[in-house]
Amino acid sequence: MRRSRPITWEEVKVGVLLIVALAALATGIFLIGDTGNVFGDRYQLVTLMRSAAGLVPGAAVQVAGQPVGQVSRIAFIDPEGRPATGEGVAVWLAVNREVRDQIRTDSRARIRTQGLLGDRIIDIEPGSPEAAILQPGDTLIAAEVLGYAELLNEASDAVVSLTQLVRSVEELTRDLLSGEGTLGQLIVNRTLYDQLVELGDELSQFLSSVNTGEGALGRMIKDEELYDRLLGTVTSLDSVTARLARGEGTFGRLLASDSLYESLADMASRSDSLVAGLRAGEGSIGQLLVDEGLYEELLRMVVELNNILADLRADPEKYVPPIKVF
Amino acid sequence: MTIPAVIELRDVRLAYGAHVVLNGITFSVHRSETLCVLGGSGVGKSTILKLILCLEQMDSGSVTVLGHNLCSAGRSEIFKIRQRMGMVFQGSALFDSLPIFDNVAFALFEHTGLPLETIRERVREALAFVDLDFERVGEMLPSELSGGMKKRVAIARAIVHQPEILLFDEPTSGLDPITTRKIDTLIVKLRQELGVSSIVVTHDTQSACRIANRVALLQAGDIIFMGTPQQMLAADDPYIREFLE
Amino acid sequence: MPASDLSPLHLLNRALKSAAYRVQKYFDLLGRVLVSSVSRPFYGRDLTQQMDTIGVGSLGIVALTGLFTGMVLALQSAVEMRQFGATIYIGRLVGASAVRELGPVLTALMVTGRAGSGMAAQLGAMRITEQIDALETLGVDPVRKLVAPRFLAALIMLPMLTVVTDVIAVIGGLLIAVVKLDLTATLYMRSVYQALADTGFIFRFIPIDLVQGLLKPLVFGGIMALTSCYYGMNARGGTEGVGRAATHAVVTSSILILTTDYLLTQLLIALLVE
Repeated sequence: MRRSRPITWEEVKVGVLLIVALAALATGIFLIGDTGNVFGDRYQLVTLMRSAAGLVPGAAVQVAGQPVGQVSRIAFIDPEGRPATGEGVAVWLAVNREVRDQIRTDSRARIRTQGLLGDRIIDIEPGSPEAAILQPGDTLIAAEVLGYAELLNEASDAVVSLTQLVRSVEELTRDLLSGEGTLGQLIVNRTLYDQLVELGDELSQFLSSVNTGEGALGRMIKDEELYDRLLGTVTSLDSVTARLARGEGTFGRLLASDSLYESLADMASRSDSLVAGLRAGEGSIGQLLVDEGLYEELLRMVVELNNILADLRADPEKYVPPIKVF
Repeated sequence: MTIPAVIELRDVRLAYGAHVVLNGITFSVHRSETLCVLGGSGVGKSTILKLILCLEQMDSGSVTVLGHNLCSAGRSEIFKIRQRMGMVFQGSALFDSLPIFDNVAFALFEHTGLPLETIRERVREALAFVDLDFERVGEMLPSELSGGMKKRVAIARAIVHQPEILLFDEPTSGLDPITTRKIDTLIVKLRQELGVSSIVVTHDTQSACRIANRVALLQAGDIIFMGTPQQMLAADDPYIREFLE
Repeated sequence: MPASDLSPLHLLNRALKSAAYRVQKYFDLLGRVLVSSVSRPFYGRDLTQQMDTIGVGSLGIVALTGLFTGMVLALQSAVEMRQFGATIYIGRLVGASAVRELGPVLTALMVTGRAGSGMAAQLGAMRITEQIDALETLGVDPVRKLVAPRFLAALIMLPMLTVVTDVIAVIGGLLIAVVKLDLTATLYMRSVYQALADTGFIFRFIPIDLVQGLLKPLVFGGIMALTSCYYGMNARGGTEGVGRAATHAVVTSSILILTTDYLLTQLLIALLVE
């Protein structure tokens, strides 16, 4: 209709609805994109892996646990062009340029599972400062991950040893139960048990007789006389000690009086002067110690005796009359 | 006949399943002529109008309107031909959601691109022609008008774009005798003053006699009589007599 | 009617033929609507009017649907998730199910009930009172004037209404998460975004979930408008026929929406997610 007309109320309402809905939509796209990390300049890295382990394009890429991008593509490597290490898939990662200096030649990419639902993600270890920063398109090395298959292998080895262990234990148990060997006898044979029971019985009988005060031990335990006597002894010991302490009696005097000590000290000083007299050659013993004439006399005598003995050895018959045996 | 027919139907047949509505109808309407199609209820009178407007498809035969064969015409050609025709429906068929002014001005807004003032003037004239006051009814909604007024608004809407052909479907049904007369006068006035050709479908014999140049009587899908009202009144065919009584 | 006309085979044949005829008419209408939508003349005012009726008019019902759907989703999933101590995933569940599935489908069904029945009834009434014939007579294509604006309005407004439903559903879930489950709003919202981010993006930043969450209502809107207009335009048999047209419009639209939802989900998953 070609009528010039002002904006109608309908148009205002429709316009407001459209604007509000589109604004909500744009906000949604922004917030979701922000969560999914799609904004910001990105660069591509490639990582070669033996197995993508269920990774899908769009999976999160993290550096040290922080989301920085996503997996953009996963493709098989042509069997002819496969590296010697045997990696079969190439995974392209789109990573925010902001974190570029974190990812270096010694960074390692690793597939991890995350969350309750076990989503697969790629986690990249940050590189060390001395390593070079990876350039767009560079290959990021994947960490050696114990794959599921290897894990199974390891596990099956473990299971084999475990089985063996269980089998030996089983055999051992069987032997034991059939009464082979000492331990087996111990387990299976009743005699030891019976003897032990007997021993126990006797022991309890003995103890009960001790308890009732029979025999010497019983008397010792039950009779109060011994205790009284011991107590008496202790008491008299106590009084002896007390008397000793008071200096009563010989021992007491010995302990308490100074006179014995004094006479001993006196005796010691007198011995001292005696020794000094001897040294100086006073008296006969002193002369004996000091005079060299006696020494020489003695030395001469010893030499002579020596000579006589030597002579005797050389010609015993000179001194002893021959003894006729035959 | 030297004057070419404005509308020409030739051996038109139409059936809904086993029910035959039109069984080979042939007639033509000339310039400035009013043809009344008479008949009982449900004999396919309205269907003829719908065929002429191409609102329904016939099974066989041909309809020529203003020199165009509607059977071979494309959709856009049909729309062009329709703009040269006006139709007054049995129930007026005014657009309930639009005020009277917009109802009447509808075709002008759609097809002419005239300035609003001119359109208002044309609508005022059309309403005046059917004895309605533009200032009073212009902003009213169809639901606020009486049946007779609705019919007149419908006529105003049909004539506002100055068509060459007018088609009326039961223009006087359900109206009181005075209003009926007014409408009849209008139809005659349209022919005399504007020179339009018209087909009026009605079951009201008196009204037909007042307005028609020629009358066609339809029964069971066949035209059983075609002639002037005088001829019809004088006819001694038992069915015509029964119908006239 | 001859006796042979009542044989089962004959009846089946007739039923199939009439079904095929209706399908053909339906697609014929679609073709005409599409042509009318892209060529002149263009009824802009009717378009805004329909956008008002379908869009603004359905806001209330759609908001309520969203609110309660979100709240119920959060409550129901909380029962399950509590067992695993995974209530922080409630945002994920509410977000993903609302945006991918429930938002589009429930919005489409509610709008069908409200606007689709109205469309069918209005066009049906216009058909019965010959207003549609009158339009044709006045040289106006009723498909262009009546059906195309409704079709386009539904196409535009259903995705917009779905956005509203989604947002309100997420807010409904948030209410339950914060008030009844003692989650923080930040944690819940983060979980919602995460769910939608996890499916991935196309064109680097458009979340796939939002794409499928908005493509669906676009298609549903088209189905709803076209089906409702089809029944309205072909209404017959007086006021009773108008009522029948409205009922058929709602039932058929709903069934078509649910069926298409399945097919569309399959298609979109195949195209976008994998």
